[in-house]
Amino acid sequence: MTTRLDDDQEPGRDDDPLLVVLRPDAGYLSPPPGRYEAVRRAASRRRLLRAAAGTAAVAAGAALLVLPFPWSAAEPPARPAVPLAPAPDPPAPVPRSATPVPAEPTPSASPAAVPSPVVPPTEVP
Amino acid sequence: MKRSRERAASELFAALYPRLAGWCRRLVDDDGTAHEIASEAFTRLWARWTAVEEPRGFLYVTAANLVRDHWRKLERERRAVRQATAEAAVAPPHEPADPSVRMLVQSLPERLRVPILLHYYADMPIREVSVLTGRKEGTVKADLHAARELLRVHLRRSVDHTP
Repeated sequence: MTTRLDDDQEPGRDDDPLLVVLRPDAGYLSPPPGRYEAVRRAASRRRLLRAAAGTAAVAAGAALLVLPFPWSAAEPPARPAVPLAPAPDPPAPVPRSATPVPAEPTPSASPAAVPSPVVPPTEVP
Repeated sequence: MKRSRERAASELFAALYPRLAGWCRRLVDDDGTAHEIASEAFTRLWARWTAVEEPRGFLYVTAANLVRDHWRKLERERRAVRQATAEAAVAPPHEPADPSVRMLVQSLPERLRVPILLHYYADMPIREVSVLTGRKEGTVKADLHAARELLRVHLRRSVDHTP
């Protein structure tokens, strides 16, 4: 069984002491002079402060998105270089002169007949 | 448009402030605190960017929360004085003119206090209380019933203790 909760109608309960608590005589307290204007000014100041705080928060958030930061522009790590095949052996150094080594003069040759070295022709760049 | 809004605010203040401040006066110790609480409730109402559909309910709920904060602050101060002076009990300096109303605010949990305030003190019908609190009408009725039963118990205890 559900208890009916007819809260608005309470017939025959005028002597209920609880209603004395719940429906006390209305007390009135008139506002002091100038109270209305003071409240309106305070409310206006609070609205302005909230608007300024909201604008500052939005600006800070936008700055975080736009401005570059060191940790956001980090360079990608250097990829390890693929080891290349070993370099081929360098060519054998070219002798500085192509002059054939003169043959040893034979003992039988005349002293005057000394062979002159052959000078290779120079390349013209 | 600004003039009409200003006129509406002035009329609302003239209509609601005296009764709201009078209700606050029954719960606090002096006129000054009652005016502070009522004024703060109106300031919070008009500091909102969005309009409040039911300003009367908003004002009473806000004022009730401010009264509760005021009583908590007084209790903390009394406890601190008790600890500092090592006294067993410190008589409160002023007793409110209507202790039963104070008992109403202090004894009820939040869930039951708000419907009682709106229905009995702000004279709102249950339908409006339901809209303002976001609870179904049946739930509001059940809360009011539970609150009354709880208050009856408190009243009986206070009567039994009265010499």
